[in-house]
Amino acid sequence: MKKTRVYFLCRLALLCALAIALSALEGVFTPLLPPFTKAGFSNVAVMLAAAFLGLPSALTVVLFKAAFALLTRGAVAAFLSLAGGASSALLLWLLFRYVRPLGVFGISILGAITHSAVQLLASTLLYGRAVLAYAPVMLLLSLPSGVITAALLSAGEHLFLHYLPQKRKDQDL
Amino acid sequence: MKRRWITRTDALVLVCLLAVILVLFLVLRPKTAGDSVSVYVGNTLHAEFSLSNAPDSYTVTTEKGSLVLCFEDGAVSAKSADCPDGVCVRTGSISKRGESIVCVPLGICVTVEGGTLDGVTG
Repeated sequence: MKKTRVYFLCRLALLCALAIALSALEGVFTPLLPPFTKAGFSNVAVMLAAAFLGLPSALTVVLFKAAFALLTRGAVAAFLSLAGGASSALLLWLLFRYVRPLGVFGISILGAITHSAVQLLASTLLYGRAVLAYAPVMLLLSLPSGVITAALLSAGEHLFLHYLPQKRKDQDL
Repeated sequence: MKRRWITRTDALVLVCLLAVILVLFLVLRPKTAGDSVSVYVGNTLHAEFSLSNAPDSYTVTTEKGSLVLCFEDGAVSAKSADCPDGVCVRTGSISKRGESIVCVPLGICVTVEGGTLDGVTG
């Protein structure tokens, strides 16, 4: 196996672990938040994967998150996590790759809002259209969530790039 | 890191999103009192009541458990439910069109409806 492949796998595994750890941490804050909302810390791992490792890796992290949700919170949570996660991973990857004028802050907010919006739409499949009554609150709350994610990301990005063995110079965010 | 933390475009995006959300708030805000209550289990209509002429209480029974609704002064509230989180009970009483009590674990949704703006409030 080539050496770069090992580095890649190592990083992907770290991000999956990070996603699950942050998901667990979110559980601590959930009782403090309004019903049906979550802090969204674990999106940091998805963002790092989308920014540095590419779309397949980002989707892998999303799958790990959904699997964790399946084990801890059941099938409905896993389905919603997968729907929101996959769509926001796709958008994050596209933004990081092709949209130069946006900063980390803007990308994070757009990712968070996509996550919430798609999750809402997915939950209308399960609970009917009445769930849309939560749309304004959820979308509004995804803004601070995006800001927190962006702040965590810039901290995490430093650790990710500087404290892990590197073979070649990493590409820029 | 070549990509900056925040740019002018980001600020523009934030303002646009805030504007969209504000419009959503204004459009979806419950304004007028509703006149009927619909109880959905999953996506199917389970029961319907008129707010002015409702029983004192009604028990919604599903295979996952039951939820007790309480009608009072033209408003409806969830009194108790067989769910672990009790979010539906903490929602309190609702009476305005478009407001709803949702119990996710039981798959129950109670919505106040009525009037002509149903399409807008969803």
